[in-house]
Amino acid sequence: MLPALSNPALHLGAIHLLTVGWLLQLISGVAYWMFPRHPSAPPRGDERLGWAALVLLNTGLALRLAGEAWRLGMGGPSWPLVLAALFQLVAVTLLVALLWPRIRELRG
Amino acid sequence: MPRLSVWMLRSSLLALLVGTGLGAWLLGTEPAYDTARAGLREMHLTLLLFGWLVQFVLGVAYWMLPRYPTAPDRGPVWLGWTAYAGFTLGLVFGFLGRLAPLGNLGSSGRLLLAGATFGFLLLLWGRAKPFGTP
Repeated sequence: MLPALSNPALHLGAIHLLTVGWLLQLISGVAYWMFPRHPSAPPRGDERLGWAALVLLNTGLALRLAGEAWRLGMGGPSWPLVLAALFQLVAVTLLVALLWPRIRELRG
Repeated sequence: MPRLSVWMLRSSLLALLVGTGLGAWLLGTEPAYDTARAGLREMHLTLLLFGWLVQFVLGVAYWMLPRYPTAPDRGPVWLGWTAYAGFTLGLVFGFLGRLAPLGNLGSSGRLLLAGATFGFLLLLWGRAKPFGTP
């Protein structure tokens, strides 16, 4: 199946594996750890949002890679790509909602 | 966290949201390698590379790099705000220039982005040093 893929699709998949799978998660993970904490509990915000974002982002990314290969290599349907797009968008929205209130002015 | 970093980090999160929304739309409607939509793909790339990644990294660097022993301890504040304004305008101009070809809006945006990035480089250069050194 893979040799039938066009190069641009493979190229984009690899780029998203690195930028979403590695870079975005590395940066978000470090930000979740290091950004100023809330003075009251829970200090890093609602942890469930973070876990939901993690699951959705990785499921969305996997679905994208598989769905793209399926669609291009075997003429598969487009719904996995729609679902992948939706999952990743919701995941990023949750990440932003989690980190936004922790970005605030601190003395020093 | 200094106010400039707050603005940069929040702007970068907004760019992440908009850039991801655009990417999701590209992926969900038709595969993004459709060459007819190269302009939208370029907007998606610019928003996520400059709007999110570069701005996020610069905002954190301005906050966390070693400070100068004397005020202003993070370097000239006006330079930071000027660079931030240039960066944001550059992104907006680039975005609008893609939506509707209005004169040199797109290339002005790219120039502003490059100038603002150079401004941040000037601002941060002296602070890239071991902690505890003047």
